[in-house]
Amino acid sequence: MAKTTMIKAITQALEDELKRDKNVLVFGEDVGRNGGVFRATDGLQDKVGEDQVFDTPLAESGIGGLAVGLALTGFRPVPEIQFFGFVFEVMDEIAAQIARTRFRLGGTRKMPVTIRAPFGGGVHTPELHSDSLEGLMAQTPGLKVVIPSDPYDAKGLLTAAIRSDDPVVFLEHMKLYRSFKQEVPDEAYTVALDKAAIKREGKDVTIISYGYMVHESLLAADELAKEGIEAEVVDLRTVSPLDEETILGSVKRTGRVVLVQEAQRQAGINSQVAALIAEKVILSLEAPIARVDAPDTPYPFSDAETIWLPNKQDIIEKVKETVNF
Amino acid sequence: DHSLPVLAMPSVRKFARENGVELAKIKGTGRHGQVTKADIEQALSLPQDA
Repeated sequence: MAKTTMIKAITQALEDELKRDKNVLVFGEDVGRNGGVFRATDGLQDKVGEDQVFDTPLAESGIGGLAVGLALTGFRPVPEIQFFGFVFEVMDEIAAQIARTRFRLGGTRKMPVTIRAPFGGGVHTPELHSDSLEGLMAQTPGLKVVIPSDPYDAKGLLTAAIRSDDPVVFLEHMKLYRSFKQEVPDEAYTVALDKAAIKREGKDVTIISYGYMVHESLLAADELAKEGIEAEVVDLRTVSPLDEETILGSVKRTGRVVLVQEAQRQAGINSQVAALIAEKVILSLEAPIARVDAPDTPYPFSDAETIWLPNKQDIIEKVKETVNF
Repeated sequence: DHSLPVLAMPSVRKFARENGVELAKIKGTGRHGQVTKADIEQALSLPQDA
């Protein structure tokens, strides 16, 4: 056990899997000699060689196609898209090829591909670096979409993703890369790809969130507790497929729910979770399903991030509205 | 004021709340014991015992 950052936990998971299985391949733009633009693959090429960790030309669509080809010949590709805003270049390979291959070929082939990509706001990136585009992926049948919020989950979920025979889109929030440390086991372990986690227990209202917003939700819950409102905070961890049992169980216990995401209202995953709750547990609801999300505009220029991104205060206000409904 | 795990539609919960009726004390006549708006109205029509 050692305290480590999320980025180091990710590197550990990659190193463990590269050494455990020679078919695991890590590739992308500047992931080799350079060690990745965020150091996620730092030192890996030296440790396992450039046959397993290598740079590619600057072409996301080509990287996606490379993953398809390698997977069809028995490898376990772990490509990186430098920033998830660049996913548009590789949408066909992900949504129309990787996600559909098992279905298209009647189960005679599989796509054990894990696509890693950073995303997320609050660190003043240039345009199309911070956009939350998990909603696009979650609407694509055949993909699992995983978004860890802390180092422990990041390592366990990435290990499980790489070992999974189905394609996984693994999204890493940039603000969480180094913002805090957490105890993470030295040895390899997995965290289930279809299970949410209750990160704080409470009886008055359920806050459902993922990614960096889990931390804003926990901060909000701390403040609400001072006013006598006990919020339960659920971290989805996997936004597709959703862990219905954990979501519905919590909402049934509290009778009130606030959904929190960093993406715009029309994007993300909130509306899907809201529909699920309305469909399955409406008889337990004491108040309307509430949503906290970003305005329906393109991701803002970096100077406007602080007034645009959802935060603790937005969550506190929405929870109070819901509790006092 | 929580009346869970009583089953009731949100509209019924609001109706009960606004009329000062405690859902847990109402016997639901709907499917699976669901409390209906009619159940609340029935309770309100009874003479108050305190």
